[in-house]
Amino acid sequence: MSGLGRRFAALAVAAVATMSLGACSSTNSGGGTASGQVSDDDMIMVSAVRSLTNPYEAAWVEGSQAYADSLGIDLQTIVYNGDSQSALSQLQSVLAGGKTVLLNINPNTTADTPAIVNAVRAAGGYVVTQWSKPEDINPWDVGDNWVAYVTYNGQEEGYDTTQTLIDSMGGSGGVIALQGLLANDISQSRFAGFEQALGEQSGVTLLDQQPADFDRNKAYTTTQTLLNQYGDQVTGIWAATDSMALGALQAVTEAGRAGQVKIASAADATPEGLQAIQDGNMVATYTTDPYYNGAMGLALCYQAATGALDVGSLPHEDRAFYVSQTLITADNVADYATPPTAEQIVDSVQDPLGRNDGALS
Amino acid sequence: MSATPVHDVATLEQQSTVSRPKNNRRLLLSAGPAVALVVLAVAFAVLTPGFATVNNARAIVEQASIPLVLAMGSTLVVLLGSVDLSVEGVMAACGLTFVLLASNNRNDNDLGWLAFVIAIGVGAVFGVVNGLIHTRIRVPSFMVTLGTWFIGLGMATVLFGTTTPQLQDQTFRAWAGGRWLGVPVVIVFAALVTVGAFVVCRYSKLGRYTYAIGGDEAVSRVAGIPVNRFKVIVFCLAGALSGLGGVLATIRLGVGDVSVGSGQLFLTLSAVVLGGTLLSGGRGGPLHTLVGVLILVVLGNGLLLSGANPYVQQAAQGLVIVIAVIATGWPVRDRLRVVK
Repeated sequence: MSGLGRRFAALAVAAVATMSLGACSSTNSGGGTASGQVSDDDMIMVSAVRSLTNPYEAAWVEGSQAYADSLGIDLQTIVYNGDSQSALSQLQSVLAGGKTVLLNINPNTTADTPAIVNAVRAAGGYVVTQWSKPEDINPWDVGDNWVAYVTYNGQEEGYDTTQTLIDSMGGSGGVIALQGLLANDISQSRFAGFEQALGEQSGVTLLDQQPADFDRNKAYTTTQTLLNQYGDQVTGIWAATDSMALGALQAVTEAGRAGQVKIASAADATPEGLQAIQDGNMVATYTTDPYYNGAMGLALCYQAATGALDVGSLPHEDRAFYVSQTLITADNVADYATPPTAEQIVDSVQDPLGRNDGALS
Repeated sequence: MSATPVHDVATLEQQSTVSRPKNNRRLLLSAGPAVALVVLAVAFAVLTPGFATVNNARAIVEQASIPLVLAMGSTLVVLLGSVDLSVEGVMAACGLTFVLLASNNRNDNDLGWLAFVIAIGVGAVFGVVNGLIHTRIRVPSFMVTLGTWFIGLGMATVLFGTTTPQLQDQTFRAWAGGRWLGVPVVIVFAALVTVGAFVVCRYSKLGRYTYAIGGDEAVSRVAGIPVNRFKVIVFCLAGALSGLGGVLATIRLGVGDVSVGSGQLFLTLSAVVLGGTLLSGGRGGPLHTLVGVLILVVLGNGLLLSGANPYVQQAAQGLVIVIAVIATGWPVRDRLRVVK
């Protein structure tokens, strides 16, 4: 609820900020590049994602596009299909183009980060990385070109959605948990949140937990098998993502138990997931606001490049931090049912540090 | 015939002196996988409560259905001595074609059954392309089909656009979990395809020629079999079956999904090999593959129910597959002409 309040407040502030920035950017592009700052004409924005068939990343790219369009700067989208090498080589092609690169990237794996930020630094560009980085390397160690690292608190997602699930089950019954890939950090932290919430009460018990690899089909077959094994003992299912929750929902529906078995997803807020919440088939999901994620990284880079943001003087908690996110339940799902307009996206990132939810723990 | 007379004498001799063990070998090759399946099922039935129940048996057959449809196509191709790696790409392309032509939330199309037919047709076209490039331009089948795998994925990605297309045709939606004459719809399709593949292999010219070509392509050519034409036909059938598998999987999900086939290639090919169809071609068949698919599905299902640590399950699954392949291939290991 507080998240919702913050959202509206941020929108209001952003609306005011837009008008002033509108004026600002027109002088910027028309006039000079004071004290060695980069002008809009010399910039190219780059948004790098794993795939475009994943609703989260598709929305991320839409957010990036809206922001780039608002400034009239070209956006290049790099889709690396889960291939770290491909991500780096495509990035190097863009860097070789000679323009100042403003990069917002969701790296393929934790280990890719150093190569990416060093390549951007060497070319004099600016980069914001999201979701994963090695623990022992931080933006301030590398320099001002790595503007910030932002991520999302998976444990909070797991914890809040599990609480909602437990409430919807009336505080008693048996639950099945579907994790993502076992080796995946974010999946582990969501599951840690799940276990934490479950450990704080005794009415709901864990019947079984299985990895479904973020895969909808695997979630479907796993749930089908577990429903056979545990039968009516299963009254709740928790999944680390929407796609797995929807796979589980399919199995539950086929077993004729839709609505009786409560299903919560810990992340993604995909259109289908939101629809399932509206239909009463799911009880919760979480949104990091993918449109915001896609635009905010570019906004930070842009402000660093123009000098609007003095990266060197920022405290560490503004260089590596969690971005606030929102629990979605039946109560507030209507607010998220329609995607934001380009204007709303641009407004939301006028203060790109506005949703800083604290330093990494 | 490339074999020298000396070689011929040797094999003749061998045949006359060791005909009995050889028959046993034959039997082992056919019965080995079936025995493995029974052993596996009995072991799980004893060790895990909840395995030997009617509901679980139905779930196993249901989970085996789509892999069966795909594996029947693969079996025909492997019998030729070729391989079709494009399964996952073709599934994705056909699944999305189907969703976007049937009633959906992205456009106004509502072709109904025609969408179903066209989608499978797209799969058949992929198969024909595989077959033509393989036979006419003489590119190894694994290379061609590796390429078409990604062409299929690319096509599916383009069709996918930026939002997940949802299937809204109520007739097809009812297939997910629906029944025809009391039998789940996917099982009906799997049964039809399996019986069809069996009949083709056992009673048709296409089947006989497929075995002949896989047994020895050069000899088949000399014997006047239009090898290239039959290869293209088999690849076309395999493509159509991949398409059917993609459409059925899409109906089950209720949405178009580029990753609808992920993991299916591994499942399909290992099922074919596990069942005892030789990768070098010419030996094996649909019933072998039926057993192979059931082994893999029972294994996955049983391990899950056994409550084994999920971290260990995947490795255990791989280990059992390797052991099973060694066991089923053991009696004929000296007869494999090529291992590649």
